[in-house]
Amino acid sequence: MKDPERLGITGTDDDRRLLRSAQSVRVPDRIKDQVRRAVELRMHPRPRKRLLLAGAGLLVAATAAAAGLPPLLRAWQSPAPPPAQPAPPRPHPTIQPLPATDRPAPPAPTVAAHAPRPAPEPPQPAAPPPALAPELDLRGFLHPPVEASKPPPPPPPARLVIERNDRKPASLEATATTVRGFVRGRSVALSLVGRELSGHIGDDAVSIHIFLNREAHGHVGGRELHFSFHPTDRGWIVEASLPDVGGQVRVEPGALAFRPGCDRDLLPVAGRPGAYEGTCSDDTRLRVEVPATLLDPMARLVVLGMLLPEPEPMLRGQVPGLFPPP
Amino acid sequence: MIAAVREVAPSETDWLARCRAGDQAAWRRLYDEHFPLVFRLSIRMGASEREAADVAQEVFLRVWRGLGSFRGDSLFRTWLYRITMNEVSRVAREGAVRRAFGAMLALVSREEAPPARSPDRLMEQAEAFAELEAILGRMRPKQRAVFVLFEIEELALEQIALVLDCPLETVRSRLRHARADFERLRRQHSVVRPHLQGEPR
Repeated sequence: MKDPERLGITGTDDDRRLLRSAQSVRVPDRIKDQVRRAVELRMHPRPRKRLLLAGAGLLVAATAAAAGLPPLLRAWQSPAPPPAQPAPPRPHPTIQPLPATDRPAPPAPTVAAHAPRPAPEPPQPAAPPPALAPELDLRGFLHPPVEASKPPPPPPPARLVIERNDRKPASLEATATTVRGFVRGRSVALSLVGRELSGHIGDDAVSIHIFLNREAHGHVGGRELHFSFHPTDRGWIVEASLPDVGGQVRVEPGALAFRPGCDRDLLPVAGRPGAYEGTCSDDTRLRVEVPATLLDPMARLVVLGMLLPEPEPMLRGQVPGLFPPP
Repeated sequence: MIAAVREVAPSETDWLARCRAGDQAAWRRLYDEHFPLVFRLSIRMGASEREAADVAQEVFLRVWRGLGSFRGDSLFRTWLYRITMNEVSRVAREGAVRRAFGAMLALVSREEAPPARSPDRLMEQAEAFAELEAILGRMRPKQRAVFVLFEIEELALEQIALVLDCPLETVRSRLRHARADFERLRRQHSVVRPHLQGEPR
């Protein structure tokens, strides 16, 4: 049976006007690009992990090569030692001269003082091993210890720590542009580029844009997130609207508070800037360390707004949250 | 099933094969070409811009994951329409649950402001689209789906049956009802509209 004619052709003027208007739906390039980035991020969810593994593999291989290959190579490149000949007995072993180095050799005594200076000789091939191996270990001179030139090890990265006495602590590596780690069994990797905080929580792609009007909007795994920032006398309050909770975090030098999750303020720990601890009314002991190097202030509030509030008990099981329920 | 529905243009087949082989350029082309379809269809089915972006993200992820199993029995677009309609339904369901709980707990997030449109040249079109949205919003979801796919997306009925995974006769019946509803709602709206137009803005 043939399809009926469409209203856009056979309908009234009003029908046609209305249906034509549906063609005016615009497709913002900004959204198109954001969605493409989010999809591509989710298509290859853990590139960092693979890179890390590859890097670790290369490091191990390089270390092994550095430790094991040079002696092998030296043994392979140097001519085979002459067949064992009975060496004339010497009363004392002698130290063989070192191979040629960059240091200019002293003028030979046989050359006249007025003779022209001989042209520098091209680099000589490595001297053959001495017939009698010296008893002194000269390897240290030939190959200066690597440790001497090593820069001092970098300080350990700052960590964002959330500890509760009733569950496994969360500890995330925090830098000015990244935060990485595990929270309630889900890997978290977020990076800040400009005003865009993106990455993943578990298998869910995260994309959050921080607006200049003290708001941030975004998505996690296709679910909506919204944050608004409000200054207090000494700090900030962030209100976070997450899939499974509408929460609030207040960060001030004298206190850290988040609802829902703990109904009492956490107080600063003496001598540990950025560390707060306290006990909620249900006797849950909490300790939170917020390093000053964690992202920038607004992005830091977004991260705290996602990590600290606990899911609403009524929404548990109804709406999937950012993290599995505790 | 008509032959036209089964037919797959050779270029599209090649293109999909390249996507399957991991060709990033082919994937970008596939995305660029089909994103507007997915986004517009989501909007026409009643999604907000943000929801349409969510739908598009899930749709393209499912496309990428499902490319290996897409056999080409139907047009790629038909498959895309089907995934999009499923995702739109999912987002609508989740949105309803979330709004319900949000309202209960007074945690409703701020509604997105309507997208800014050009105030002069597009005003009339925007008004018409707002009217169309209002009418479609009052239709039953299943009838709205058939109406949008037939009257706006201009798919053949057989293709709609494939997209919605239902018999052809069901599609015909839903279209009949949808058209009747559309006419009724449009007339109601045009009765209300003159009063609205008289109000100061």
